[in-house]
Amino acid sequence: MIGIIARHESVSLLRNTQTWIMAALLAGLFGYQFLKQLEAFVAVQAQLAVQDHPVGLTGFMSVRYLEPLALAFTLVAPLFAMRSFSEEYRQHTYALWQSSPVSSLSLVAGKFLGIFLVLLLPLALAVLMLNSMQFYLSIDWPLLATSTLGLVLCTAACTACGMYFSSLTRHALIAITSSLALLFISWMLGSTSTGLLPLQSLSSLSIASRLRGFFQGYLQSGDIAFFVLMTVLFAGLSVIRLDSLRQAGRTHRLSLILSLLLLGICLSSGWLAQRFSLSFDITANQRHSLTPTTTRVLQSMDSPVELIAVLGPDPAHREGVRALVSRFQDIKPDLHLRFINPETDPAAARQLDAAPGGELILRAANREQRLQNLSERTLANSLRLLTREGDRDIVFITGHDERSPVSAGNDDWNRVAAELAGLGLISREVSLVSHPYLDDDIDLLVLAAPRRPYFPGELASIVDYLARGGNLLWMSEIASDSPTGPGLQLLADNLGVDTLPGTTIDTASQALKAQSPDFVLLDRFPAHPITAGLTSPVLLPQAQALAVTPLAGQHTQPLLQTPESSWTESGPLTGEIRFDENTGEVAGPLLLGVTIERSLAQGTQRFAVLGDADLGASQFVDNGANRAFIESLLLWLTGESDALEFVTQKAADSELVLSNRSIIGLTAVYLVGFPTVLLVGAVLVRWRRRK
Amino acid sequence: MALQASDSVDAPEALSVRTNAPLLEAQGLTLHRGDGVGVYDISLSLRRGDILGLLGLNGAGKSTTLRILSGLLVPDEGSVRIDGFSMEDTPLQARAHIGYLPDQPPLYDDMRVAEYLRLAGRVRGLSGDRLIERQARVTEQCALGDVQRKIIGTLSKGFRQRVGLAQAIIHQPSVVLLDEPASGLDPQQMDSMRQLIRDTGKEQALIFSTHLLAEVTATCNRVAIIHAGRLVADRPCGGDDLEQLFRRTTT
Repeated sequence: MIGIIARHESVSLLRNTQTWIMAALLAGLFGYQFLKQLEAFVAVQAQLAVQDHPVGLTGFMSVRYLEPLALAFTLVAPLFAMRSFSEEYRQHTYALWQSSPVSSLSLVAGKFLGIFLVLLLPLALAVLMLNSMQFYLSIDWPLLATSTLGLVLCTAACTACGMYFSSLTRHALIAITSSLALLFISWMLGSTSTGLLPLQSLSSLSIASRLRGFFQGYLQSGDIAFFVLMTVLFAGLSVIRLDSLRQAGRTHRLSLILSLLLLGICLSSGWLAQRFSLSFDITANQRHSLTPTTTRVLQSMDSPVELIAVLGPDPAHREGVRALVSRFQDIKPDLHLRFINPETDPAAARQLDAAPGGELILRAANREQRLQNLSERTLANSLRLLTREGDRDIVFITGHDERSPVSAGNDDWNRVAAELAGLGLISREVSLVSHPYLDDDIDLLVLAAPRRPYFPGELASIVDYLARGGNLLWMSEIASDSPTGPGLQLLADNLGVDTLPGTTIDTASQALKAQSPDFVLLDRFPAHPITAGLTSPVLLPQAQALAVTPLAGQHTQPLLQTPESSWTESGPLTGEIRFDENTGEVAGPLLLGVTIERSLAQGTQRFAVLGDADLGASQFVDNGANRAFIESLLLWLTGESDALEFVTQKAADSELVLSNRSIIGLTAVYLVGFPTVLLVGAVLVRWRRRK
Repeated sequence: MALQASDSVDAPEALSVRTNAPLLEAQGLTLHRGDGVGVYDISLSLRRGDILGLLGLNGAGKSTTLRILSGLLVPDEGSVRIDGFSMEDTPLQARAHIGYLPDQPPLYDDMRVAEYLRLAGRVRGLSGDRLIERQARVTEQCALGDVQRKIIGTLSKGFRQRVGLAQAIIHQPSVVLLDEPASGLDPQQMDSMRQLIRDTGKEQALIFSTHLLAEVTATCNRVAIIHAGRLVADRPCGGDDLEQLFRRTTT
């Protein structure tokens, strides 16, 4: 009987010209969206391919093309369903079913199936377009399958919803308006950012957020249960409604009780399904699973870690943080995450000194790490730094008016040193006069812009330390105090790096209204692991350019480089400053920082030479990415940052090459062909009924 | 048929066993309705060959009674049995033995007559050769041969009424319930409708409602008068005092 009713319902929909016109409109929309997103993918595929968890064509199109279509089906399904019962009431045809040996359940099931089958046709067309990409590359089939499942389940739930409202009234317009209103509210629940608690707990009833996992290939049993229960709920309510129609003239108390009971059962089942939800990473390259590297880091950690997310109330942001952390918690359960909302609890946020844009603070024992750019890689790195055994010994040489990691002067490095201690990088001062021998256990030696010359013996100590494989950070400043400079020529020869006379001036930085003409702002960096994660510019006040002589046996890499708009100014910095070739000034691009690596028997020896020490001075360290740059630099120099090698599986469908002929063919078929065929269908249907 | 549903009920086979048991038995039907048109304590019993005219003024409760008998409404009190099946306990089986034509025929205006009759037959459990045979039979009975391929929406009132009757009898139900089948028909159409009712009533039990006394005397062998929701007379048709009885009981 269900089959008979379903067939009748499908055929009556297909007999309707409007159905075909709507299908043609949908096909046009699908084709346009598909081609638009395909073009977008071709443009960004190179960037996508180098991500930690690369997204291929299927992943990209699932989110950018298929997911928005779910909204289209949410709107269209009630349109198709609105006539199901309203029209029967209006035409008085409902008596045919009521007086026939047909149960309300069969009637609802049959009608639902009939409408749903018709809706599956445009849905199949939408999926088919993406499916056709298999002729160009190898598609991520499981991901396409979950995306399709998401569309199918969403369409089913919305059909059931539209059908229920149709069973309530003989006016199709009222039915469609009410069901669209309800579905619209359900979509919006996910995007609320009011921070009101009741609304947030309702976000688990949001269609939009429930769909997300399907299109990302992250299948959760709770999400499947949500749509199945929504379908069952509305279908069940329709059955109760139809049965109540036989109870004319009486109070519908029984129907109300049954409806509430059904609602209660569905809500509690939904809650249970959510509570015991299982997740599956369906993507071919395991995009949603932690890399073996992260798993190894987590397994090697012993102590518990507290994660404090200082973040606004936007549920989407919070959900993102929660989802990532929960994957970490699967392996390391003693990661404790809590949120602080700076809008409702500004005092707590201030106490934590959190960055305005939101920050994740990691705390374990006496160490602390801060993250503003959250990803699996950054979180795993921070956790490793936070909990690894032992500290790193960083020695600042003192006695020549260097920048101090201890003193609290404006030019000193005490603020940044305190933060580095949170990373386990412990700085101390050593005078070469009292400790002429630099120990092998020192992880990094820092010469922080000395202003007075070194004694030859002191220099010999440093050269001896370097000869034994020690790491070095050498920063020089424009030597205004001493006409002879610090006398480190021996060191310069050793490394093949020397300083150029004059102050670095950059007109591009001046355009940004830097405080002083000799301030350089750099936001483009040569490819280097130290600067790879920086998102803001680095400020270098009064920097000195470097001259590099490549030496055999060492690998020199540029770290900081000025643009062509810069030069080394030798004259006074007053009045109009301009480049003057005749006075020996050198035109940009200028090197302001280099790293040097030497391969030794006991490992890699690392040096960094910077033409500036102010960037880490307490008065400048808060500018741009200065702090992040120094942290990254010191971690690299001490060998801390390269322990994590992330090897992620590439996406098989990451490279799409479309010939002009293919593009023309796809456009012709998807944008013109399908809609035209459906419009011809509409004309044929009309003509046949008229005959 | 693509799917076979679990609750499909076998169509009543050609009535081979001719017993004289009542095909329709209604006991003490009562339905209180908020808007006043209720029915109170109505009992009826019909056997094969009974053609009962349910006579009453407008708003007397005729349609409500037929709706209860056909299973469209559940009464507050009382019971209905169709061919031995209780409407309360086995509603699907009971409804399988009913053919019902409401005052507004349940017609899909966008379907062709033949398509519609096929659907009506299928919904009542007919299929295959039997469906073809029954469809041909009711098409002939109701003289629908010429309009089979027509869209229902384009048919005249008389043809619509006939299509409505055809859908009610396509599955040879034991009990046929017709709600004002002749209303709005011209005299010629009314004549052919009467003939149809008489033919149908030979093999089945049939009730039709009307507010016209002439309808009853021309077609029925039994008459029941309903007034203000109560059954005030139930007797064989005939005799000159019928008009008097109708007047007396309905004022």
